[in-house]
Amino acid sequence: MDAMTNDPAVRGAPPLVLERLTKVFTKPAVDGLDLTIRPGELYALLGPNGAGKTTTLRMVAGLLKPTSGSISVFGVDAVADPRAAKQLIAWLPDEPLLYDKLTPLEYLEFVSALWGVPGDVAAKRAEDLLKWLDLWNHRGDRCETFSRGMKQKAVLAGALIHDPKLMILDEPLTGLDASVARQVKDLLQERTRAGYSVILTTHILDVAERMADRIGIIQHGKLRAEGTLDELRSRAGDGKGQGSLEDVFLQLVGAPEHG
Amino acid sequence: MFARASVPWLLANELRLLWRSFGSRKGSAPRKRRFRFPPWLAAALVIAAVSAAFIPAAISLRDVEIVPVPLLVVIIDLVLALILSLMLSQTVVSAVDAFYQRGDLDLLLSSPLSPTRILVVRALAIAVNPIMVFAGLATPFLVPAAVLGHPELLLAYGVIIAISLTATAAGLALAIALFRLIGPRKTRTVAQILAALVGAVFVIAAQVPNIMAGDDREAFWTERIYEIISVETLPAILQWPAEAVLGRPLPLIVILGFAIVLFTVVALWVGRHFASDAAAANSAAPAVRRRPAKTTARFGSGVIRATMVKEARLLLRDPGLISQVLLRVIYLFPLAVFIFTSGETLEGFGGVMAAGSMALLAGQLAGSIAWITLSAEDSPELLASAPVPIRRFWNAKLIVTLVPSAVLVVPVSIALAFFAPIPGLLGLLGGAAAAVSAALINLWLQKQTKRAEFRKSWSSSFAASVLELATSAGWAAATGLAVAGSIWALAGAAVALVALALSYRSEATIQARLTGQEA
Repeated sequence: MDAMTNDPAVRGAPPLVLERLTKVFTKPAVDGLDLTIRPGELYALLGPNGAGKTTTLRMVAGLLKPTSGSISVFGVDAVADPRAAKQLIAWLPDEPLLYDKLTPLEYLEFVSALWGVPGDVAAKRAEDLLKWLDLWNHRGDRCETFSRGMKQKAVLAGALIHDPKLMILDEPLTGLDASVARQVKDLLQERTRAGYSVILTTHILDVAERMADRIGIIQHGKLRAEGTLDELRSRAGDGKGQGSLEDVFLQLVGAPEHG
Repeated sequence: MFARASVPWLLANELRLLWRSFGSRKGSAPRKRRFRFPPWLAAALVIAAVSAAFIPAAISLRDVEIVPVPLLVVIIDLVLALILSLMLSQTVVSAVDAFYQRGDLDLLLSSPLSPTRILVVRALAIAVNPIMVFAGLATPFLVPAAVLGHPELLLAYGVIIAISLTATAAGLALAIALFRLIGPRKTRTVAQILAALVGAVFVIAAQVPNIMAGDDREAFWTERIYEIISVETLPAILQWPAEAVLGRPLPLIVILGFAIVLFTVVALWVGRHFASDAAAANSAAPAVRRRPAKTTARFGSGVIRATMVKEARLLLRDPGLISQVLLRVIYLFPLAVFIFTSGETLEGFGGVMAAGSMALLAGQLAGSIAWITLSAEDSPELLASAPVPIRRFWNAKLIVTLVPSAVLVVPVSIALAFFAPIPGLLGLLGGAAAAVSAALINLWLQKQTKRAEFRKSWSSSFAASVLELATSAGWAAATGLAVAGSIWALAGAAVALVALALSYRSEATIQARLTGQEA
């Protein structure tokens, strides 16, 4: 993988800065969100269903236009110049949307063309990624024969083919078995160690607890709390700073009502 | 109203789901509520308008006794055979879907209900769909005639029900036979191809007499008609369906009784194996042709080329989809037969028909493929997240859309031009205009959905379908009338251009619609 720090395009500017980001459908889904991701950071965005997590990520990925506010990706204004911002990021939705009739190699051929990756570079990266994700022996099989985990890995390879500086992942571990989930987690940690940045949403609090450098908790489109796990514990007023992320989460967003 | 979990209760639930799926928006994000013209109301208005147009003919029939003479019987039988083949092409695929489509099937099969009862209800729901379609088509002719003096013609609805039950029974039997013969992995694809062939077989078979007739077609048909007229009594099997259509109760009771018994026997027989067959279908991997895996790729292409290659691969590797597209354009075959057997008559009325039909077919083909490449994009979020203007993807998809139309229409135009240069040239121009128009309408009015919805593309994007048909028909009329040298060709072109103008949406509007940000 390319050394992140050698890329002049991204040197100096934070990977992602959201300022007063707002998206209104019939009511505000994201409401004046401020958020900054640091270089080499894995940031987990948590929140109850309908909190605005996916809407936030979709705006960053350029799939939705914000109603107001700004998005800066490595200093590039993603609202004014979405193409320049998209060049630096990769988006992974929760559903592995693939072309079932293509082989993973053909899929990577197509995706690399979208990001303008030179042919020789793309061919080498495709081979490396497919080998790393245990798909090399299936490179000639159509994706329609793949399990969900294999499809998710093919999509992940597609997301990495252009060596994105910022990865945006929506529930990346949903429906994956333990071994595939482990591969994905290893890959994300390897990326952040190499200086790349990752923002993800997850319902699996254990994943956020173990992997994330910082955690943001969002509710009703607003950031309720943000920080490292220890910072969140102390903010939640646990007193002893011993509670799990689940305790902190439930304390901040409120436990579900029963009966 | 019905006992819970009874067959009528389950059928009512199936029909409610069917009704709600008709014209519902699929795959697009929620948007603000606004008035939408309900598809059922549009269908009712069209039926009412056509019924009104048929009133003068019904009045002229009022005092005429409709006698089942041999010629009328043969014509009605042929129409019924065509309806049966079209219904069968639909019920075969629906029957296979009953095994493959999960939907609420897992819920039903995990309940204490018997699988046979579930299958019987599914089979009845399969039969209802073609009944609604063909009853809708027959109503403008039957109701005015029934109201204005021939109430016995309403029994024709019973014949439609009988044909649909027979087609459903045959579809189920065929589906289960394919399961047994070739296994669940290949059944779906083979069934789709078979359905296309069954739907087209009547159209193709109808050309055999034309080919046999040779040059003197008129004399050939005159001779055949005299042969039919001179027959004193036709066999009962030919006589009764037509008599039932014309309102004779006894033939209808026999035909409907036969259909109900056949349907019941097949449904009960298939129902006994339904749970295990559905489970086998669900666990089977998709049918994949076993061939040496393609383990090389050509990296480094531009976006346009890569998108074109992607679209071409996706189309060519989906035989089920290809068969459905071909079913829509299979009528090119009779057109080709007509051109090659008509010779010098193409300078006259034949040329008008041939050139006009070519425009219509080019529009149909381009519209179908444009719908697949644009509305049925499998990974819209990948394209939206790429640093490429969306217009470039659309351009590549439009090129892929127009190639098959050109491949089919250009050779036919050249053949036509060989016999009649003006109709050949105008057919080519009309075909190009219709194909480009249909592709643009599908671009402007695209709505994200799935490829599997292709068979229901009419209900998933009703406005686009109507405007596409109006444009193709407009260009077809313009082409045909231009060949005939009529000034009214301009009216046909005007209809096409108005439909095109009504369809136009800016790039920003299309993108907003696709991402659910429509104002």
